[in-house]
Amino acid sequence: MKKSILHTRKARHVRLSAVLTALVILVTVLANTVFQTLADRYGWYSSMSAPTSEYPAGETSFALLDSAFASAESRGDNPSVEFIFCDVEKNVLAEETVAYLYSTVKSLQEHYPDRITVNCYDVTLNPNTVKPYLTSVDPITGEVMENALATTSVIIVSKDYHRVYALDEFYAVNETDGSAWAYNGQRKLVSGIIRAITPEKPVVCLLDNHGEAYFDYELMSFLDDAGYQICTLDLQTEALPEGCSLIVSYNPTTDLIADGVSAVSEVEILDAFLAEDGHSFLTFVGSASPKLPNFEAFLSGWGVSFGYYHDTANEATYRYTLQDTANSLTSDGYTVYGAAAGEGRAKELLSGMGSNVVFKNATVLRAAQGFVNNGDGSYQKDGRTLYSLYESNPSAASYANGAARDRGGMLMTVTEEKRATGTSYVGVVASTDFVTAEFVQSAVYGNGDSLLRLCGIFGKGDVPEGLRVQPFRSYDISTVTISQKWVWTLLLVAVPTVAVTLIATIVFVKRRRA
Amino acid sequence: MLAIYRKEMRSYFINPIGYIYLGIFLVFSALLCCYTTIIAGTYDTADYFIYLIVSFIILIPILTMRLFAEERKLRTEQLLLTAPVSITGMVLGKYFAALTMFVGGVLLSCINFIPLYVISAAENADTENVRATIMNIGPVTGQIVGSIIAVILLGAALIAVGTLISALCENQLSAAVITVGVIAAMVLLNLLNLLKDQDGQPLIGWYPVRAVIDWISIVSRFGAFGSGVFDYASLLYYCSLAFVFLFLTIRVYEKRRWG
Repeated sequence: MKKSILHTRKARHVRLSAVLTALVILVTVLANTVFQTLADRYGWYSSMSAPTSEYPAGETSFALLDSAFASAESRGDNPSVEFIFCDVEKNVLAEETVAYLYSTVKSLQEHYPDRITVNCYDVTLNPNTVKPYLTSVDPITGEVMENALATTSVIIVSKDYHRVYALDEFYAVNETDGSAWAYNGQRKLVSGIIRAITPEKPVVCLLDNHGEAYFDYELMSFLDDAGYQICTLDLQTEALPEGCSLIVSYNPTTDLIADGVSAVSEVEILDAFLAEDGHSFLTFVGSASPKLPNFEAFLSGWGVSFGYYHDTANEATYRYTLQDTANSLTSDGYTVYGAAAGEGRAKELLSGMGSNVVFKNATVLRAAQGFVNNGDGSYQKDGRTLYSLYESNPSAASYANGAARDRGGMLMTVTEEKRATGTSYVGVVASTDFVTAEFVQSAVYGNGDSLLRLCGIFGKGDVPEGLRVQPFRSYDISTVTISQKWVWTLLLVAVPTVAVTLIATIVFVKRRRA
Repeated sequence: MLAIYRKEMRSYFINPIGYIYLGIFLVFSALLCCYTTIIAGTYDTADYFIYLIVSFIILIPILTMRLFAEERKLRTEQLLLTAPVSITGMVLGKYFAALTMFVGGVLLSCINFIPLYVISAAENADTENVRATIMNIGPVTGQIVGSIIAVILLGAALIAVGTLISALCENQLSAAVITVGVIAAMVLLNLLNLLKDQDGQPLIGWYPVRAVIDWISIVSRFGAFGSGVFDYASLLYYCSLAFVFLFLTIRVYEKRRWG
């Protein structure tokens, strides 16, 4: 009987071979799938230095956290913080911007192994791992808010507190193109930990009914870093929220309502607020800010008045603008360096502060009438003492209506009212540009730290001072000329070409001769 | 296997092909490196490695086209098949010889990074350079090392692909052309996931398909290494790819030996 072609030895061999090949491919694909799953789950990968070692936490961070943890322990707490990254560790390390953050958190964990834990969860595959953190309750309004969670989000958890941070909160962003240019993770993480382990979270109210239409994001970011809960406040219609310890008025353009004008006297509300211990008021007024009589009268009660030039010829009043070409960042002389207080308690208040505090488009502050100069950079009247923290350099002049009219003056002041039971403060900064990103999100200028120091003076403990932004590694080659670039290129092209040609020639000549 | 390996290595250097390959590879990588880094004014080497991978579409076929196709052309294939060496040993010997040439070229091309380190050292040492006082300047060694490892692994996989095609083809030219096509498809596969329609939505809308393409893509696996992360799953993937194609090459020759 004739054998079917399918039953020949060759056909059997082909079948066997095909099955074996298919089996090998299948096993390989399966092995890869299983290994990939396990690798994602158990973190089977190693970091080859960068970028994970780029931004480890530094000594300043440790000192601030030591103090914060010690404060918590002294209250009888056993503080602990969990950091949750919302992707598997491999992806966290592969995404450069998240990896920078991860490296800082890991170095914090290494320093505080009993206090800090770090977990990476795949929130895409297993959203239940972060389900408790999808909503938060606004501590001021009590409203339940939904948290936007992304694979790049970072969650800080401590007992019944949690907060979801978006990745861009940890970076300084270029205002023009929105690109991140520096790492701000250390300050944000340290402030996040301090906030998480501190039960008291004081409230800062940003006034919004006097033309303070635009609150600079950086100002809010710094107040947030200082550990405040932030809310806006219409002094006329809204009651001060519970726990409010600081009121901020940023560049007001309409005046406060004084006694007798309306049923509500905003000046009275502020006076009553500042009569309570531990309460403070902070304002930013620049050279372009309008004159506000009630507001300035209120501040003069706290020892601060503004420099004006009155032109009798046309009956016009001009606010002083400070100009100092010898101590300015810019050639026009309007972005001046402030001189830190060099004596007395004002110097003590600034102890340990770096220099390079910059006041752009600044006006000039003077001691109000009746405040007596103590001769150490402070002025006193009744129970209130005005301290000049920063003032202009001797080369500065106050300009108004196109000409120099007077000497320079104070640029940042704090007035302290000490009572038997406690203290209140009023701070005035003579520049609205003081808190722009250019100066506070900077590795060079000390504006951010001086703002945090003000919060510290106002009684907010454990503020993350001294943690400036860290510019990214620079990939730009800036010092090489075009001719040098071509020399390098020629060298790199010529060396291997000559070497290979030379070796080839030697080999072929030798072979021919042999 | 060692005998075949030695024979192959010798043949690379007694024929012009080895020198041509190394010369082209080194000159091309030098030009690419200078163009994407020094001339572009950046220490970032990511673009260099991406272009280098794309250049493998041409470079790897130069290396692999002759592996088996030349044996046929020279009519030495029967000699090999009847030689006292296993098929596996023969395939592996040829494969590792090609891989050695490739790795040698990649390692020699590391001299391209010397200028970056020289320039960055000078910039960091310049006390008048304000940038140097507030930020790190220069290339990231971890990323370069990771990228080199990934390039070698990727090359190992692609050489295995070229080996199989060379075993299947009658002559070197057809082997080279087909290898170019296959490697181009493999390298550019990842682009499918990047294609968008007029509304900016991914052209391949169904997530599982995109996930599978991403998983298969040899370029997407490069990402973690390029960031300085040694990814063991990707290591297994590249090794598996090489293993499967070498296994298929062995099957082809097993069939030919007994067919």
